[in-house]
Amino acid sequence: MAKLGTLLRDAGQQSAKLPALVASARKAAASLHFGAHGLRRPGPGETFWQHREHQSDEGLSQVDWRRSARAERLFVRDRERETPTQIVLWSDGRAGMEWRSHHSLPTKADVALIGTLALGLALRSSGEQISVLDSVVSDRDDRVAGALIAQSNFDPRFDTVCANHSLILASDCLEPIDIWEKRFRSLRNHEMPRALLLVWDPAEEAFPFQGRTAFRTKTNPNDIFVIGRAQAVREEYQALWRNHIGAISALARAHRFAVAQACTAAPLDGALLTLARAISEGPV
Amino acid sequence: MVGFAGFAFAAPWALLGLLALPLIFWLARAIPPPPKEAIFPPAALLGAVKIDEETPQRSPVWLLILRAIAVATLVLGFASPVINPSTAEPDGRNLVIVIDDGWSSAPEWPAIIGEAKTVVETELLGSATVRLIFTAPDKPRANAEDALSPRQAVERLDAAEPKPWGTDRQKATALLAAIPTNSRVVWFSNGLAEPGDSVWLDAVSRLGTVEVRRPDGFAVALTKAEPTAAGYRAFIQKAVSEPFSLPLQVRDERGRVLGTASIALPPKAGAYSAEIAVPPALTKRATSVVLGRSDHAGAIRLLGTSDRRARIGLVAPPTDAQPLVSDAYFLQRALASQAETVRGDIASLTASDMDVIILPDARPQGAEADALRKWVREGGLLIRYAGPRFDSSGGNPTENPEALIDDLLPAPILPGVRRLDAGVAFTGALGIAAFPADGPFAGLTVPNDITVRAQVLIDPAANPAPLVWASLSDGTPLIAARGLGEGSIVLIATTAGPAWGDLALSGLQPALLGRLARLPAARSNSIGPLEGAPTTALAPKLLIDGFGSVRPAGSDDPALTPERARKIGREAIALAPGIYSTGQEARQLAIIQPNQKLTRIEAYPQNFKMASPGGASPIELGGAFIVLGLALLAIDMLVAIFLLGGRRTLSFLRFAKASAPTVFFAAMVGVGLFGMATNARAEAPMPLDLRLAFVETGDPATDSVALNGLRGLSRFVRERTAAEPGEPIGVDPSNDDLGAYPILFWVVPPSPSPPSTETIARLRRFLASGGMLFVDTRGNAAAGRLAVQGLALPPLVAVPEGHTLTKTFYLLKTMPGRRTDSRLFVETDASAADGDGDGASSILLGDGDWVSAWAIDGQGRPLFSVEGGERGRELAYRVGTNVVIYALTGTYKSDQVHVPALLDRLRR
Repeated sequence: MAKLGTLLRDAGQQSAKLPALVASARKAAASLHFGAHGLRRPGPGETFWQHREHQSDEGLSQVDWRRSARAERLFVRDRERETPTQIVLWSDGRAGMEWRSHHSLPTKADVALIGTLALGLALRSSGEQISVLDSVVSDRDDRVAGALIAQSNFDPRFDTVCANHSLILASDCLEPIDIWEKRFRSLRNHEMPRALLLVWDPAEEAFPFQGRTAFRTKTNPNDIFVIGRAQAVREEYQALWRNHIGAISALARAHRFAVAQACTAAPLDGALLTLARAISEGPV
Repeated sequence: MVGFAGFAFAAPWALLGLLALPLIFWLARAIPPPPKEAIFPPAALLGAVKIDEETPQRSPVWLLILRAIAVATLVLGFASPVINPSTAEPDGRNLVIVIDDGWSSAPEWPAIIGEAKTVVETELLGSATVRLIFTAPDKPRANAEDALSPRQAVERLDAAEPKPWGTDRQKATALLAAIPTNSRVVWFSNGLAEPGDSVWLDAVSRLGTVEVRRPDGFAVALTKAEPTAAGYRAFIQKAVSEPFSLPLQVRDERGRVLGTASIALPPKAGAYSAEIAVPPALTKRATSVVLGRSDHAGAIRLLGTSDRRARIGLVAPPTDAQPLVSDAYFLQRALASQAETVRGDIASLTASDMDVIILPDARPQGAEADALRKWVREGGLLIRYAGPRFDSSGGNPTENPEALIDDLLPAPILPGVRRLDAGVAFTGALGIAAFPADGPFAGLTVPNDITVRAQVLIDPAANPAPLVWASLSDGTPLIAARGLGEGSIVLIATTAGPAWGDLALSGLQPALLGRLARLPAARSNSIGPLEGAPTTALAPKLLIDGFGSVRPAGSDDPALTPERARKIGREAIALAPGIYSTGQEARQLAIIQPNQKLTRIEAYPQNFKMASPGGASPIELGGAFIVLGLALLAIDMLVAIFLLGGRRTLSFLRFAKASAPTVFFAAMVGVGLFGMATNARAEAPMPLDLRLAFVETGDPATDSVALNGLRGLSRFVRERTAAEPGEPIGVDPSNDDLGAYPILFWVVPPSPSPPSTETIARLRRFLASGGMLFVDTRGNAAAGRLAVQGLALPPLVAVPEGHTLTKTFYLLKTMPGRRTDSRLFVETDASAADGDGDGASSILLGDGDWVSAWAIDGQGRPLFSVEGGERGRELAYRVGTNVVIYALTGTYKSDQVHVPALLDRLRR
């Protein structure tokens, strides 16, 4: 558990970059054109949506008699769905995410935050309601972003997520897989669409280290892994890493997550588009 | 010194450090450079990585090599490599060092001693004994039969100095008798032949192998310096050598150069001379003539009591009625620039102390003539000018020389005036012929436009004939002179004014008068070279030491006795050159007599090995190696910073971590090796606090009294003054370092043994370096004399009234010790001022048995009774306190007498 002072300091630093974050998230969201409008689909609502043929298992009260009278068949009058989906956002900003392998790159936390926020904003503009995990919903972008940042420092708990809420996560998911499995377990029976943005730094994939190197993580500074010749273990590491990412993805998919990978060196658009589509498609 | 052709290590043991190189390899492997650090979030994944290569990363090979070279260079540096090491192996045979320590060795003396020490030092490790033989006679001759250890020999060599007299190898031959044969003889020759050389060479060659160093001696010496009209003439004797030229200088007593000349000496041996011009106004200041760099006793010649500026009396009325035609006016103008001129009448001038009296155009009569005659006989120089009133008619002088003397003329004068431009014998005005070379005017040029229109004629048949110093162009004498008693009379046969010629109008007249005015000075100035034995023993006054420095004679310098004087020129005697005199008689002793010849040793025996000085001098490389090694280590550090550490992560901590092992190890190796190599002497720790020290005499009773006495004095001084002496300490002057003690108490035991030469030498050094020695004879004068003999004590006087010692802390009238009539002697102020104690006496010697008066036992109770009871003891303590404070503050208290005056001036 991070100390309060550290938290406040981090929060201060991060809120300083809030406007920039929100701006870049808006920019990313504006570029999200995910085809069919997500909410334009039948559902409980007031406005007419479409007529369709009556299915035999539907009750007769559903039949739109006026329309049916103009034809030989029975029609059902569908209304446009009017209850928007509540989408819960969480981006991982814990210690391990605050890292970049090169100063020209954004940190993973930034990418995760921007991705999450962009997705949230895009989805809101298409009628969904967004909220931040364990936070109060707000309409204002910067409030959302602030809440995201605030929550990003804590380990996520998904048991508070309602069954009818969608979930968008962004993380590097480098914790051991059983931890993630435990987290996802509370989502087992939910049927709403969810998305996971897997963020990774190019160095995590490429392992560009040479020579005798002492590796340490930010999350657990006392763990030092000294490798005599770093270049010698590159292949082995890459295999391990790919396995981990693959396992996390598989786990997430098993829990009905749409998974997209985002490299901090590459543009986010593709991954975000994939996830937005998945979310807007509604319950699987 | 271990080495091979042309290369050696002065500290070969340090090479053991090279054994550490494998250690460096091992260390470099065992302590690899610290790993680079990387924050890497997926690092946990690496926990699962199987690490095949367990060995940590090695330092790059080139870096290892760099470090190895750096350390190896340092080790080599500490081993002090030397190119062209001065030779080699201990010979094993007994070594005989013969040094010609006569005057001509002085210029090369440091080199000679250095070479001799090098020769001796090669024997340091061996068991050979060394004998030192100095061939110049010495007052107490060094005991050459002593077989010395090489270390002792080196110390004696250090103390040796060239003698300001010649060598006497024949006499030294006697010393060779005691030396066993089959020795190795190294002879530092001065190259000068001596009468007994055949005996000497024979005796030396019997000793074993003989090596002659510096067989080509250099010898050139001043034999005398004579005042001349223009300055001084220096006479030089020289042995055969390469031709060279040397500067000659005339200096005043403060060493300022008054005149210079250069003398080019041809290769031939012989006597040469050169004249050094000195401006007339400066001659009176000249005190010495110096040859070359004045670096040996033969290169300086003292001049006698300094030349006074001539005082010239001019017989003339106080003022000139008609200045432009008056003789006196022209004479005064001519003399103004070069002498002090006084006008007066004959009576007053002869009564005052004049060197020269000029009598223009007059004839002294009666009492005046008598006064002048008396004055001339006592050494005056009378210059007479002719003129209209110059009445030469006086009997028939040619027949009567006495009358001539009565007339105060150098020669009879023919009656009348020879007019050259008028009358019967019309020849026209005549010029002046060139001055004869042997006269006082030699070298003056005669201007062409000077003519003489009238003169008085000197009787050409005069008998005895006068000295003619100048003539007219037709040969008639113009200036004639004759000695009379101690003085002389000069006649210038024309007028001093322009009446009879142009002489007075020309620049020649001042020049002539200048030359003439210097004659008496030159005469009184010459303390002639030693000719004939003096009639009595002459005391030394100013002496020249072996290095050509002038020093006042000390009490132990021998006098110039008639019998010694008779030996001069025939054999070398231990008599320093310089001025010897009594009230009446004075002689200057030169290093070489004018009749002596300096000849070189023509041929050494065939079997003598010659070794010229020089050759390749040793070049020490240690420093360069160490610098190179350190530079390489610095490069290593930079490498550690910029290559291994990476620029991004540069930080001092990191830098220190990266380079620490190398630097630390190199420093350890360096310090260790350096300690080993320099073989630091284990010195007793120097006391930092003030401690009173006494000389351990070896007599337990005396030493105990001294210890207790100093303990009592230390306590007293601690209680009463700001000085806080610690526990007193006994020192052995032959072993212990005396430098830490400001004052050394020497309590003379009842039956002292004379101190060893070693002790004497060290005590002298202690005194010379500002130490103070307090000798308490305890009333046993004979024992005291025996104890301090050899210390060459300066003259001592009882503490005079008002001496600094009487007021350094307590105001004391007397210096009472255990008895109230004790006496304490100190150096005279004059000798103390010359000494090294900053004006404080470096020797205090007394018979008061102060130590007994001061002595206390362990409980602080006095041990001995004191005359006068406790008051007497208090006074004795006060004397001791003053002595201690005197040792600590020197003449500080004497300087305090000026304080009121200084304050007064400040107030003003």
